[in-house]
Amino acid sequence: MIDLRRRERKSLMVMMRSSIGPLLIVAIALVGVVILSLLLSKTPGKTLRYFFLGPIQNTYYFGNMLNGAIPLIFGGLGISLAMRSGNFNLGGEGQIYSGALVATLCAIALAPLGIAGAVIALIAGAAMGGFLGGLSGFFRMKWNTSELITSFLISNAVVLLVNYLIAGPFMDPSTNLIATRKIPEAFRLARILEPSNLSSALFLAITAVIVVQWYLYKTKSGYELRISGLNSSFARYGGIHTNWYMVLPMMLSGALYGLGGGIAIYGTYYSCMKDFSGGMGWNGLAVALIAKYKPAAVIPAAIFFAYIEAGARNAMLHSDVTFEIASIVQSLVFFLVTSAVLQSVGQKKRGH
Amino acid sequence: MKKSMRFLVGFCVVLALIASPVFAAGSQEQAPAAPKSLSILVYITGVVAGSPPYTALAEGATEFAAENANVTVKVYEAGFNQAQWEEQLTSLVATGEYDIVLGSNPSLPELCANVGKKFPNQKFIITDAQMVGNPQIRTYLYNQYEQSLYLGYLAGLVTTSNMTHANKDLKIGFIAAQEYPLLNKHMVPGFLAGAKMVNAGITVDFRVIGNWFDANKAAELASSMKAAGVDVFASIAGGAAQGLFKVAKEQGAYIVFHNTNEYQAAPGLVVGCGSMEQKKLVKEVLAEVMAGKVQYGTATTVGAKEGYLGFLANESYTQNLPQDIRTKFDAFMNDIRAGKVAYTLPAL
Repeated sequence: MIDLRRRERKSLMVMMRSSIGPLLIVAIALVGVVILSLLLSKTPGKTLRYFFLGPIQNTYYFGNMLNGAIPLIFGGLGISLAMRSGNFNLGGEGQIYSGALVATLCAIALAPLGIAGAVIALIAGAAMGGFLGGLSGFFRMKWNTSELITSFLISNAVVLLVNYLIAGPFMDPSTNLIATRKIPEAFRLARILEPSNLSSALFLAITAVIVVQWYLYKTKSGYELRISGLNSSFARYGGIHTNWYMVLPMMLSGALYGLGGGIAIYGTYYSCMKDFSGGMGWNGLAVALIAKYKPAAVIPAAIFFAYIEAGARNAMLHSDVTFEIASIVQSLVFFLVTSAVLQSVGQKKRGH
Repeated sequence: MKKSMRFLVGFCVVLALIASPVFAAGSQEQAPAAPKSLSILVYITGVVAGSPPYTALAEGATEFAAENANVTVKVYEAGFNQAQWEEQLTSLVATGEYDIVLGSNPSLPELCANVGKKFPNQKFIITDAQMVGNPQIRTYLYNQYEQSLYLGYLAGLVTTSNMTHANKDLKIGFIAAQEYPLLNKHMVPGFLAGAKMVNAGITVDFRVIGNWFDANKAAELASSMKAAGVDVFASIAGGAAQGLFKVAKEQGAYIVFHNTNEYQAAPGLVVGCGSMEQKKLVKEVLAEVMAGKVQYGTATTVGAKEGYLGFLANESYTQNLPQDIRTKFDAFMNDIRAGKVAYTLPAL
């Protein structure tokens, strides 16, 4: 009994220690907000008040902030899955965008099928993202190409292609926006916090976190994926088909991005607008880095990122700063999370 | 796994605790504005810099505020990402700080209608757009068919002339940032109809950039069109039009320009510029708002006859075009202003 308590206390200490790095990054980023406000705003007090308190001042802003976190959760999960397997997926931008377009087009085409059509369209969106991610994994398996480079390059090309498709053959001629036609009303997810954009997509995101957590830690395939990521030689000697774990995690990673894109359409935008997902892929990567690739930690990390964006928008609405303050802080976070030194603060050194 | 799940559950509980007082505060969003004062939000769908119509919109509202007591203005630039326009507008309207939202873009009515459903007391006034029947929205549509008609007529005169860069092909060009109903139904058809009044054999080469900022792509398109025989261009492309100016200067081509004075963008080659009296309209409309005379739910179309569209016949115009073309065009413009040129305005 005493031994059990000791073990629990020890594991709590380990968890707290491993959180110090990410918390330090968050703290530095927030200090960055303060410094930028002092430098850029004529009314820094007002700017800071709206930056920090704005996102939670009423249901509208709070709901929108949570809504902004939803695609980041899917992106963060996608990256976490890939990174756990030792793969790098830098193609999130193209995967989320193409997934959204395919889901939108399928939803429009499958309108007569009702709820089945909605589900099939979402699966099609996820499949599109999965195909793009899997392609990079396949190239690595077949020709030993770097999936980091190929996923990035494929994504860049796909973004341009999707732009062309939205502004060209699939553009809705009845609207003045560069967007496809809207998905059927019956397919749109219910709003849960009017007048904000927050929809039941939040529950889908939480479900996705639980499923990924379960997959990684409760299934044989998840175990093999993690072992392949930790030490592929060990995994191979242990009888794990490591080649498969070059393709599958990339495919799942892309599928999560694609699903995130489709859900963003179903819950928020209703039509695939040009550039609607710009930045979501990269922010998903930063979210996964802050969460240290732990699915459960992706939710607070995504909310933190969404909070920064919502705070900057709020400060811009009510004071004299521009939205670029959010981009600067997000860049700062991105920069800091790649710092091995900061990430390891609080953790015991091994091997001495 | 257990630790993580515990963490997840704990996080959800904390989220719920934070959320409850926050949700309770949500009903305080729509404070009514003080009477006999006017708070205006100028909502720019893009950025002011480099956009004369938006500059005129912002200046018109700002000058009106300076000339009238108890009028305040906030100019908000929503940037180029169209997907964020509605959310940003909703966020601003949600503050309850603005009596009216003033904007200028054909896409705004549908966005404002969506936002208006959530905030039924909010009023919107939009120029360069058309929507009838929404009790929260008042629109003023510039008759862009008419402006395109007379600019097309000028393009027709130039392409059939002996001017240095005019060729024998009866081909004029139109480069657009994107396709939208006003462009497809009024501007391009009006431009072609005007040119055909000069010579029925003239055709228009219409190309789309895909965004409002890619000057390189605009230059590629212009270059390709020039190679295909286009010698006079029109353009609705925002900042991307710089690519067209570059090609016109390098390869020799003429340009007619909608809405703004761009003669100096390609000296000697911009042969005609239409004008749009955005500032004048904005000030008049705001005066109507102050007087409580605005009829929401209605739409008005304004053009050259009403004095809101015109043509900038300045020194550049005189220098860039030969006398015979100017004589014909000036007579045509007089007929337009007098309402003597017959045409059917297509429905949007």
